Amino acid sequence: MSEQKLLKLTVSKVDAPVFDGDVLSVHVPGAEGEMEVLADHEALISPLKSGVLTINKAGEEKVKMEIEGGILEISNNHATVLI
Amino acid sequence: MALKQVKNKIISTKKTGQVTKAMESVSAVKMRKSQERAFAGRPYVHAALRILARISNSNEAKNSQFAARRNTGKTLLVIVTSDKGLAGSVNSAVLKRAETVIQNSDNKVETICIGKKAVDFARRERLVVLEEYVNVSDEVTVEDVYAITELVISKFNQDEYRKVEIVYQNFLSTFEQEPTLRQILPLDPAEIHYIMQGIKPKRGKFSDNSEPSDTAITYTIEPSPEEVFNSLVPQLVQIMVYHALLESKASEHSARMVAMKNATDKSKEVIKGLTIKYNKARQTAITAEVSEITAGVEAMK
Repeated sequence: MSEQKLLKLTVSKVDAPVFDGDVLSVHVPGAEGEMEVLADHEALISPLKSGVLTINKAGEEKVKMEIEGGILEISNNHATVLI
Repeated sequence: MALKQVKNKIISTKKTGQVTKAMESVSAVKMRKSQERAFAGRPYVHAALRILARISNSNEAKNSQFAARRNTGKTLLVIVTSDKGLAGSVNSAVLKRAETVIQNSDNKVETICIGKKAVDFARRERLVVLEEYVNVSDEVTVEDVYAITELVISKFNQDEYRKVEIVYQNFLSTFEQEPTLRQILPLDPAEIHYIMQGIKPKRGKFSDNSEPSDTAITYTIEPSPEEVFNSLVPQLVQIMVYHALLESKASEHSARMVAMKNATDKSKEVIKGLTIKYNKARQTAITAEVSEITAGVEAMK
């Protein structure tokens, strides 16, 4: 497998940080439909609706988590999901 | 002082010392818990504020009703204190700050009180209280502040208010807290930046997260800036209130622990002084008695 650029992802809940690290991609239920965020995504802010958030780490099993909504913000290859 | 009186005083001081000691240990446990919660929440609040700061710089945001500056109307002040006293100057510091705000304000101030001490304060000062919340649990959840946020936002949307501010005790360290006044609405990028600075503790955990300043990012905002703004702002206001509550709880327990520690130390000191006094009085009594007996023996010779 070729070296792929990773995306820095921070998933945070109000009372505790949930996930922080480099990932291949993250799949989120956006307000306008599902989307897959890869590295070097353009700067974006979007609310999320309820659904399943899937974190795809390199060479590891996918991590899925249920969310009830939240905010997605991407800038400088750093995605922040607040749930 | 008579022997008996001193003895009683020693006993009662000892009992007070026991009580303060117990309160100290209880507060110490609560303090640790609430500090952890306050710290755990900080990265989230920080991220939320960063997003807020960035979008409030955009042009769409400036036209939003949440960000537009208003020149007329009343001020809504949210006062956050604890329910119980015996915590040093935490509450009085916050209330003093609130008082200055009210005095310096040239228009009418209405309040929302969180915590019994704030309610008492508002009664004493005869302030207009929109809503009061007492007995907020130590384990504050976001749901708890939902009602408060709803009220704040609906009131603000009625255009009656010029601004909404919150005053609470910010937690710096176990020995140091400071009363803090912050503007919640309308959103002000400079103010948000200031809050972000204030959120970082002076030292220890979480104190070294330096943020690169990247203000010149143009975001794609989906679905539309207005929509995002309208759904984001209530959420972020809620986070700001929640954060204020957490900080206030952490400050309260820390201050109480320190106050109780001081009280326990003081009671030990007092007991020491009283014991010396007691021993002296006892010695005087014995000496007097002995000299009386010796005098009696001498007289009989």
